[in-house]
Amino acid sequence: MITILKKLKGYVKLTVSGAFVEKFLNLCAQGNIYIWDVKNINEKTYSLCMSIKGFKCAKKYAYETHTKLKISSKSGFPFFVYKLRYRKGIVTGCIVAVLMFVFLTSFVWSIEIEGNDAVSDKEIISALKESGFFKGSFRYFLDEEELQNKMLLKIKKLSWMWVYLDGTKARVEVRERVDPPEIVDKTTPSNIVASFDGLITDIIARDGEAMVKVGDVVKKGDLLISGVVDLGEGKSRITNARGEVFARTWREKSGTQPLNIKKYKKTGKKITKKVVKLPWFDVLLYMDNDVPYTYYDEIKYQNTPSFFGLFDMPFTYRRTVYEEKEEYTQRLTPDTAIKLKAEELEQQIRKSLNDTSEIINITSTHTSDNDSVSVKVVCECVEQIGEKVFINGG
Amino acid sequence: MNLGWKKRYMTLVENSKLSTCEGPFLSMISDNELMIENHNGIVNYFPEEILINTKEFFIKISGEELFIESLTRESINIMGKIKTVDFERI
Repeated sequence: MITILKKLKGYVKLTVSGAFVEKFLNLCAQGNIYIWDVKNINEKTYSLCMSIKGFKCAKKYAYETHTKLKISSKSGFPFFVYKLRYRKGIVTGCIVAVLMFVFLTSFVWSIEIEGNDAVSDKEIISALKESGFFKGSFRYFLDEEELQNKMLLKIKKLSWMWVYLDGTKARVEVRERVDPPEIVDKTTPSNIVASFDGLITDIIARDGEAMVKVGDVVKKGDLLISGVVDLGEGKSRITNARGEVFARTWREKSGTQPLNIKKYKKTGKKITKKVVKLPWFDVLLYMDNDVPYTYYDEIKYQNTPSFFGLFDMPFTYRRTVYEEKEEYTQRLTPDTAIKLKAEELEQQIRKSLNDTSEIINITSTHTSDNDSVSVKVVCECVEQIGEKVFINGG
Repeated sequence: MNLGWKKRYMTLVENSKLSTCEGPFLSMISDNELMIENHNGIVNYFPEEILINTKEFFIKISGEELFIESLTRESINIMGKIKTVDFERI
C-alpha cells in the first residue's frame, strides 16, 4: 500500500555527502519528511530516498548542515507525466482508443433468438425492430419490461419473452403459447349446404342425415347434410351436421386480349444510386432523388460485408440500378393471343380453388376479330362443396 | 511503520502500555529488523554501528550491513544483521 503511494506521488533517490549527515537526517525527521532506504555507500556518502514534497524542504536543511545533495534518480508518476509532454500523440491516441472502446461497446451488435418453434426468427426480429430494439441500438436504452409488454402484444403466439444482455450480444428467449385443443362443436344446430353448383361424386356424412346421393345435381345453397334427423313417430333430433361432400364442378372465366400490346425494350442507358445503410440512419451517396427516365426498371443489389467470415458488419451497401427502357407496340398473332389469355384465365381459376380441389379437364373457346380475341376457359374440377350453415332457432 | 501501527492497536486493546510510557518503544523482528519509536535523533550512522538518541539514554545498535529502512519524526526502522543492542546512559 505504501509502495503504491510512493510511486504515485513520486520520489527521488539522492546521494548525500558531508560531515554532518546525521544532523541532516535529524532535521529532515523533525521536519516531517519521510525518508527511507538509507544506505551507506562509503565513508562519508549515503544514498537515501525521499518524496518530492520532502525534497523541496530538504534542500534548506542541506544548506544549513553543509550537506551536498545529488539526485541520482527520479521515479514515480509525476515524472512519467512530465516525460509525456513530448508525447502528446501517444496520450491522445490512448484516450481516443479508450473512448472508442467505450462507445462501440455501448451498442447491441448481435441478437440471438432462442426457444421459438412456430414463430420464425425473422418475425421476432422485425417485431423487436418495431418495438425499438435492433442490431445497433443503444444498450442503455433497453427497458426489458417495456419490451416484453410490447412484444407480447404484437405477437399473440408468444406467452413469455425476455432479453438478456451479455456484453454486446443480446439473447432473446421466448416461450410460445400452447393452444388448447380445438373443441369440435357438437351441440350448435347446423346444416351442410352446397357452396357451388355441381354433380355429387361422393358424400361422407359424419353427423346428421344425408339429403342427396351420388349422381345428384345440386345448386348452390341446396341442403346436402341435414342437422334435423327424423326419428320417426313425429320426433326429430337436432344436431350439428358434419361431413364432406365432393362434387364435380365446372368453373369458367372469360376475358378479352387485345392484339396490339405494349412491350418494353431496354435502351442500355442506366444510372446507379448507392446508399450505405447504418442501423440508425441511411447515408445517401448520391445528390438528387430523381430518375431522368420516363420508363425504367429498378434493380436493387444489397450486400452486407462480413468481418473475415466471422460475423456480419452492422452496415449494408445497397446499389440501385435504374435501367432505361422504351415502349413499343407489338402485334400478336391471334394464336399467341389466345394462348396467352387462356393461361391467364386458368391461373385465375386455380387461385379461386381451395386445397382439396383437383382440376380434371380444361377446355377453352375463342372468337377473334381485327383487334382482339375473346377467350373463355372452363375447368372441370372435383372439389369439396360442403359448407356449414347454422340453423336459426325456432 | 506498519508493525508499529499493529503494536499500538494491540496494546490499546490490552492495556495501553504505549500511552503511559515516556521512553522509546522498541520492536524487533528476529535479528534483522528493529523499530524504535519515540526517538530523539540519530547521533552516528555507520554500517557497523548506529547510535540513536532517546530522552534518557542512547541506544547503540551494532552489527553488519545496517541501513535505515525508514525515518520519520517518531520512528526509525533499522534493518540488517543486528548483533547487539546496547542501552548507554550518559
